[in-house]
Amino acid sequence: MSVRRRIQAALACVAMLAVAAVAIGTAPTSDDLVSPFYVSGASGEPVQTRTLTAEVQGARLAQTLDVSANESLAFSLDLLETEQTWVVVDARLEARIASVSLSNTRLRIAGVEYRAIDYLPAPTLVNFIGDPGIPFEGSFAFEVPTAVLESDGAAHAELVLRSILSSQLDDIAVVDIDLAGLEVRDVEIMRPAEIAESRE
Amino acid sequence: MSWLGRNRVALAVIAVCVPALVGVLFGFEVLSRDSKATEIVTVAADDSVEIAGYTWRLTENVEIAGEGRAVNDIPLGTSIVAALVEVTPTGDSPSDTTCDVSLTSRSSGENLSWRTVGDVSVYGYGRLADTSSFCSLNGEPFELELVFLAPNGVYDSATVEFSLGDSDAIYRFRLND
Repeated sequence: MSVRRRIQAALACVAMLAVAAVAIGTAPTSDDLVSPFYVSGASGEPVQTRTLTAEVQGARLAQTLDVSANESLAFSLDLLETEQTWVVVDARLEARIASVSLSNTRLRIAGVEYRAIDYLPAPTLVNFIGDPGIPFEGSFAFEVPTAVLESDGAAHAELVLRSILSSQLDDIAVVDIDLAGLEVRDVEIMRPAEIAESRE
Repeated sequence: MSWLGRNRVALAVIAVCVPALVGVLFGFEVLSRDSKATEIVTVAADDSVEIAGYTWRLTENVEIAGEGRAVNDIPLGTSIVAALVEVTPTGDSPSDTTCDVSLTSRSSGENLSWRTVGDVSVYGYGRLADTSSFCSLNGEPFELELVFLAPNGVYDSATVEFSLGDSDAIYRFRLND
């Protein structure tokens, strides 16, 4: 083989190694390959994923939660106070294909996720299971540091509607909520989750 | 000697190895999917079927339309769909199996499913005496009473769907023919 052919072969090898390095460097990680698809929408309008239609009807802030409308023999308190702030998010949800539970729902503010509290007397949206074609309404509650709600991030909060099941390669609804400037009331009432009757 | 002549051995190796590699990477996956294909058995409303050593017959079903919580406890826009399924062992029947049950409909083009209602009293429904709400096969005959809450209109095209244990088969009982 001539010197010229050898140089050509060497250059071809270097070029292929460079392409391989770029391919490896830009390839998605194994987590990326199965990551969920986030479907975003605004508060007050329906957000539709493969399995769910969700509409956030509003958000409220309070020092004390009134849970007396919910029924539970195991829960004796009617009022729950916090040294921080309760964020109550009211929503209407409807499963599209099969039963849906959103017990892993989070409120995301400035990259930090706050889990919806699940120890309130049932039924709340956290422990309610919805079936296809049957809309249900109620509230999620989150306990959030007051300082976080006074930060710039509060204007761009996101409700992340997650099932307890794995959401790999499936949709997750994310609803933008503006919590900035909302009045912190002394008491807000937690709406029990229930099936929304049609208006026919 | 020509280029083809000089590289004939390498080309022959590529011609054999590349298809073999593709076969190993994807062939087993395709074959295993075919072997796991779900068998779907549809049973007419007045028919019975033998599953796992038991005879299954859907003996009755009913739709109770919701008139509102204030009237009959069933939300407007929904219906209670209830079905009675007679399960009888055929002989030497296994006694350690459970089954999954759901109400399904494919009229919208998608395979929609509803789970059984746990506390049926919420919807003003009273269970019959001597029926079971849990599908557990223990070698004895029993009557399974299944109660679902579904949107209005689902009943007309609905099937009650069973799958047993580790079986890949799905059995669909038509409520209406």
